[in-house]
Amino acid sequence: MIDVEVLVIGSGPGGALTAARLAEAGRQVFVLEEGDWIEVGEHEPFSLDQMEAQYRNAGQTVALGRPPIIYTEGRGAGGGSEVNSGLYHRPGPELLDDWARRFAIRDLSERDIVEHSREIEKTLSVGTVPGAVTPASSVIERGGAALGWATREVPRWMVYGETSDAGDGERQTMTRTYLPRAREAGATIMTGVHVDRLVKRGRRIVEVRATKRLAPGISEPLRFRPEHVFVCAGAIQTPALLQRSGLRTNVGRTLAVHPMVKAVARFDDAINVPDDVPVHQVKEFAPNISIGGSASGPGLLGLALAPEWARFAEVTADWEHSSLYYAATRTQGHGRVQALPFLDDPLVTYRLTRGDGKMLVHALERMVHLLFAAGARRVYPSVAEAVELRTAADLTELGQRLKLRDLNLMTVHLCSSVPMGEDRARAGVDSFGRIHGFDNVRVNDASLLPEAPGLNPQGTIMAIASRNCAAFLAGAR
Amino acid sequence: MRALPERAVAGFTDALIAERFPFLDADQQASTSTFVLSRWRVASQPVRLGTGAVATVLGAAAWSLAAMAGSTQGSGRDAAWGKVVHGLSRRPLPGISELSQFVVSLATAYAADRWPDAALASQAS
Repeated sequence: MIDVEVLVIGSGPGGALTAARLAEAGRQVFVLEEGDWIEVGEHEPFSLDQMEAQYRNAGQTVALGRPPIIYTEGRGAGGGSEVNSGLYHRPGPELLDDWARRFAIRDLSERDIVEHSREIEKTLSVGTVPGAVTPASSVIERGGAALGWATREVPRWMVYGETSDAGDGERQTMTRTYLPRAREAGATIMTGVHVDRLVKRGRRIVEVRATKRLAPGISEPLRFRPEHVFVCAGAIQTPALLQRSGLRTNVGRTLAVHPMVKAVARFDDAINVPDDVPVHQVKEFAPNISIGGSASGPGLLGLALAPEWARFAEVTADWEHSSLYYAATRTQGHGRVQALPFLDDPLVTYRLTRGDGKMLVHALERMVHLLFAAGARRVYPSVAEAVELRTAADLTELGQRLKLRDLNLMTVHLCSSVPMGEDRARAGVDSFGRIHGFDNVRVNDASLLPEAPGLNPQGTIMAIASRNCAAFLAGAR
Repeated sequence: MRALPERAVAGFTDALIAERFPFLDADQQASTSTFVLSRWRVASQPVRLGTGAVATVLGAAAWSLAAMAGSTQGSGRDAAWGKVVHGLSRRPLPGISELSQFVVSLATAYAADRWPDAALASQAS
């Protein structure tokens, strides 16, 4: 049995920041991470190899529903920060005030958050591209300007090299920032450890049972006796672990995502930079619709055209001239995460409403208009039977035919599966992440956002996690 | 020895790739099948259980066809899988299309990544 003061489960943005904050405050911190420690650059960004090494289930994860939504989760030290696009939004005062009021969350004004955001931005070197953005990013800016829509360059956590151009940036992930800081402050980080369950007695977690992977097929059990537990395993694994441990009240019933529809756009000029993503987004319709660009290697272009890749073979053959774009939406529907007996992986389901379907089709239409306004020669929406659009007018007929089930949906933003708030009828944790009814177990990751924020959520997740650490250190309940 | 669901997914994948990706040569098809199967093995358990169950049912149908034709091994088995996949492509059945979608999506991502001009080259020839 290993005695620890603070046990942090998961080392993504929430867990890494929690470990650093608490270790630097003099707490004895032990971090358990299921995946491996993989240095930035070991795998080509957004490649099939990276998916295999750094995504949970090699990216083969889906929320079942009509239609299903493919989702991805990072797995390994640093979690999603190691594989995502690195786009950063500071949570705005309107969003925070709205959440505080509607979900009965204490101390969530901009005043309560802003210093945490500033520290995070400094640590992660958040900023815009000092040099040139990628041609695929300029497409969004150009299309927005032509249509009179508001666009903006979204800052990233990135350090730029000599050229200062977008392609010369190096992401400041958790393995580059908060995890080394946690280690320097004395934290222990153990990788290759799957946490099986938390053992509760009364209002406390008295033991954490885990399995350490030693070699393929060989493992050993580990037991920890923690004073405090922070569960930071992400919006799918956190509720699954809590459910396996018998903590089920308002856990896993309100998963929220930003489903996105995608389209391939083909241009006369070469625009594709396969190992980078566009930094511009259309904000005209935010927070309900956000339009941006995705990683666009030939494999991802082909995937967007599946099952009609062969019909549009020129897209991948001539991949330098094409890029992938997305329109992400907020939804009224919700998902569920359910731990299943005898299985490690939970069942994830998501139910979209008819209104969500209309919103997604509407978002797709706007994206297609944007791409043609930016000079696209052809646009291929990623729908069940892929079609080639030659003008924006072609979309009118398609839009009338499209049903929700025809859309190929995916998401990389998962949250709200253990929402915070003082209303015990709705919230799984209190205003600072402590599980209702328990004294020493907290959630500090994307799970506790009360709803999907309508923007890249990592900045919001980290700012709230930092605030929760401060409250914990100050002894607030 | 592979477990039954894995054998069934492998048989289905080989046949579907042969049907849907005729422009890939035999080595490319084999490599693509290997990739799809490797990703199926690490897919989330609910995905694996669901697709494995569907493939097993289809495998039983393929085995029956092969048995009726007098050969449940080698080329007889492959031909039976081909008939099953061909039949499904003409008349998609609810619940089974997810398995086809799973295989085709992964196969497309891999093949387009490794041989981005393969499909175009076949059109030219």
